[in-house]
Amino acid sequence: MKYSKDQTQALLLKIENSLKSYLLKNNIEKPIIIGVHTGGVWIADWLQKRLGYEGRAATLNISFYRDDFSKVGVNPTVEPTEMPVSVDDKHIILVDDVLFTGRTTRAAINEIFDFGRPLSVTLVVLVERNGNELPISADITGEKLELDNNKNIKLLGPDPMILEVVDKDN
Amino acid sequence: MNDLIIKSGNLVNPGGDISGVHDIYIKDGIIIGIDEDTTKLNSPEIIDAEDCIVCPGLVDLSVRFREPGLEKEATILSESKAAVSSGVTTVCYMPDTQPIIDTPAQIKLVEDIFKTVNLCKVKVLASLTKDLDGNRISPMMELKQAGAIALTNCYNPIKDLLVLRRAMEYASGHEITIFYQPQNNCLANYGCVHEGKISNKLGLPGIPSAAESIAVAEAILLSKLTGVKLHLCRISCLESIMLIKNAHSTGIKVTADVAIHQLFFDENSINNFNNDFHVMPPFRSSEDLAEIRSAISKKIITAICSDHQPHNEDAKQAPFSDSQFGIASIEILFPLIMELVDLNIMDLNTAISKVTSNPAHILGIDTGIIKKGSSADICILKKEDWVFGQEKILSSGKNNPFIGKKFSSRVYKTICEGKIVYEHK
Amino acid sequence: MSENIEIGLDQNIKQSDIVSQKHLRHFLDIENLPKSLILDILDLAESFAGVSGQPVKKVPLLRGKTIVNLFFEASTRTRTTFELAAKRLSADFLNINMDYSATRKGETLLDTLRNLEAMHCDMFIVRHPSSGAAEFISKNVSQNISIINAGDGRHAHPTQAMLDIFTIRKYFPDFKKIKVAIVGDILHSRVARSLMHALRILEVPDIRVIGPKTLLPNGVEHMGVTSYVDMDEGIKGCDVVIMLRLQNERMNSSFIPDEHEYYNLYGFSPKRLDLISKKGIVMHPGPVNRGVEISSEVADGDRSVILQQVSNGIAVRMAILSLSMQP
Repeated sequence: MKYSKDQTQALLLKIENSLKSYLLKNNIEKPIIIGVHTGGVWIADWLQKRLGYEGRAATLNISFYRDDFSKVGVNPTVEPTEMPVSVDDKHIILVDDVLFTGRTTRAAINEIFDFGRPLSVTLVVLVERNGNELPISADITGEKLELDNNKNIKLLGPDPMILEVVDKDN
Repeated sequence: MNDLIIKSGNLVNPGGDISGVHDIYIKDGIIIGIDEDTTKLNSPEIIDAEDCIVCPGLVDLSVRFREPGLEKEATILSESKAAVSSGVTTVCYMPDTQPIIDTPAQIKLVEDIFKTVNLCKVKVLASLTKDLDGNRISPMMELKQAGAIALTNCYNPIKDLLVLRRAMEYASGHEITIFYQPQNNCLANYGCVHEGKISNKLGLPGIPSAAESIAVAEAILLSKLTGVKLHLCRISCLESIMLIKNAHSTGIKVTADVAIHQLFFDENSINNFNNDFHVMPPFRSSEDLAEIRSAISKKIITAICSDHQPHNEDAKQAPFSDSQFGIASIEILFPLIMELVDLNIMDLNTAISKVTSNPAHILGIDTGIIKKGSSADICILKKEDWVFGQEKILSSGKNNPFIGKKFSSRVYKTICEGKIVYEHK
Repeated sequence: MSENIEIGLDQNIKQSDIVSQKHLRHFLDIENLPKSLILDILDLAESFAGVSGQPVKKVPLLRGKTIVNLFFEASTRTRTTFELAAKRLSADFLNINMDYSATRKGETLLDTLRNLEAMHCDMFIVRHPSSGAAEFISKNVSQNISIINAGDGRHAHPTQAMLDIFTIRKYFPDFKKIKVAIVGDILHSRVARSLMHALRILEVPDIRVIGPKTLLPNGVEHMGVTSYVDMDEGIKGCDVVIMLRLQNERMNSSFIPDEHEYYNLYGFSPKRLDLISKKGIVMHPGPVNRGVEISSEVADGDRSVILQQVSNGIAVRMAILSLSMQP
């Protein structure tokens, strides 16, 4: 199953609007937007632009923070983490494409804390699917999905961004 | 001891007058007749040797059975069993035991242990210098009278050429043979492999061929000066062969041997720091190997020995350069000789001469030939495919790169002084 | 005519170093590594280089793993960079300095290994004065322990070579277009040996070794390099010149006459900078003998990347440790 370009765009707009009202409501100015590689970075960059902030979003590669290293090892071609400004006493908007088990988010939060002590971390995801294994949920979600265990959802991109549901073996 | 008749064997007897299919009659440890029972044997045991090769028992110019002193590595009993399983009936015993064999009492001790074990015969080499120190010559005549067959300084260096000259002169006066292991230790400089492709690749300290050939040249010239009977041990490189050939052509009567493993491997075998290939002198280049094979097929190198050096497991359990060198190969000496025949390196008669009549001739002893009246030291060999497996090793030393090798002939019976000392079952 | 015998033993131990193209089990030498794996290590090291710039210089990748520095030979730099690399990966770390002479006598090397194995370590980083020691240890430890060679005799020092090529790539991304010279005591140098393999695998078209004939291995050309006795001729137009450390004891054993002549012939003096390519760099695995193989002016000058080599050493070793610890 594939979302259309427009369907995906609609979800993006939805999280953009939710984020805007969230920032307003919580009195957050100048948050740092951080995308998680790879899909999260595209969304974060898109949000960065839509919110009218300068430059590109910060990026996180959580490869070195994964908890399944003993099972799967590390992929040698990892994209770098780029954290251009200090996270100390900043509000963080953490962006990912899909929230599934929660382990990636756990690793991302760990990594952020290795850069300093943020004031808050807000999690924004395009899709939140069933299968959570940790007490982690998103603050802002484009859509919640119930998927079979043998399905994966992934974001194709960066331009245009399109969500796709595929069989796990693929 | 039973009287014996070896019937219908194919006699291969390089040093003797008789060969072909014959019956051999043995009484009281002596060959009393070929094809004729001269004294009427007393209910003799008959060995059917049809389709077998019957040849003189092998004479091995260099073995180390580690006794006395290093019985944890091997003993005369354990290694004698291995020796006779390969048809060896006479072994030359190297003096670098603990203590070193440099007195008549030491010679007697070793001879006595061999007598007790009673499997094969021993010829003891005593040390050329006291304590093998390379400096003070040993009481050569005393050692000779006590039974030393020749003198050697083993791997230990002689202090300088003057000492070597004097040792040779002294030995020459008493008609004593010197077994010389040619190596210039300054040039060898604590190396452990051939200086060349492999030493470069693995970063192991190398021994250049010149370390051997320079020592060969020195020894040859000194033997000419002193008139000593010189035997060069374990030749490994083509320059040495050239020098020996040259010596022969100018009338210098030097003899030489090569270790059996030097006819099978070159430096490339060490490949991945395989300690089983740590030997001294080291395996040289493929050109050297080819030249040695050629020299052995001619008359430049006349003898092949096992250079048997058993080690216990610990001695090889170390990084390459720290591990002990040497191969425990005596029990496959004969199968490997036959392999050389199969590889067309030598014909059968020449091959067998390298381990029987030729080494006996170097030692000046009356064995290595089957003839009426001589001691019945005989080996019977059968064509048979077999694999040299780890579990079959008789020697205490399992340090052997030939483990796993297939052979096409095996020793069927070994007879030493008329007694069957080994039978394959 | 070489009739080498095919024997039943497992001679293919090298194969087990590389479980697949992407996975290492042991890191013993460079000679048999596929090019793709070398590039993977460099790429991963690039990512790890960022970690050292973070306020918290640590990632939890190897948390719960125990790594042992097992050094049978003195070393400060290599030992410390391995320690930092392991600690930045959050591994538990243990330094064991063995007096080699002691292991030679009483306790054998194998006994030492057995004892450490009993402590359930995951990795040994080994430095040893005998060539082949790392290989030997890898053959004699239990299956689940990885061995990293931190220098064995004259044989190999693969992590140093990896950090050198990592540093080279920072300046010259295309290995196929550069000329590299290694200068000094090639004969006794494990760094040179590993570098020659690495550069060959990366298809560097012109690899040179420069030194007096006493310090050039006989037949070094077999390793795919050109040898030069004249340094000026050898470094001419080179993009990378790697100076090797000259051990003091070489002077007392007639390899070279004295420091003075050595410096004149093979020392990197400022005027030699004019001979190398315009963007050429000068490297040295350290520690530097100033005024013996390199002048202070060059060592501290803007063409020298000696300090970069040291800091790159940590990232490269992090990459090698994590790739060797993979399942």
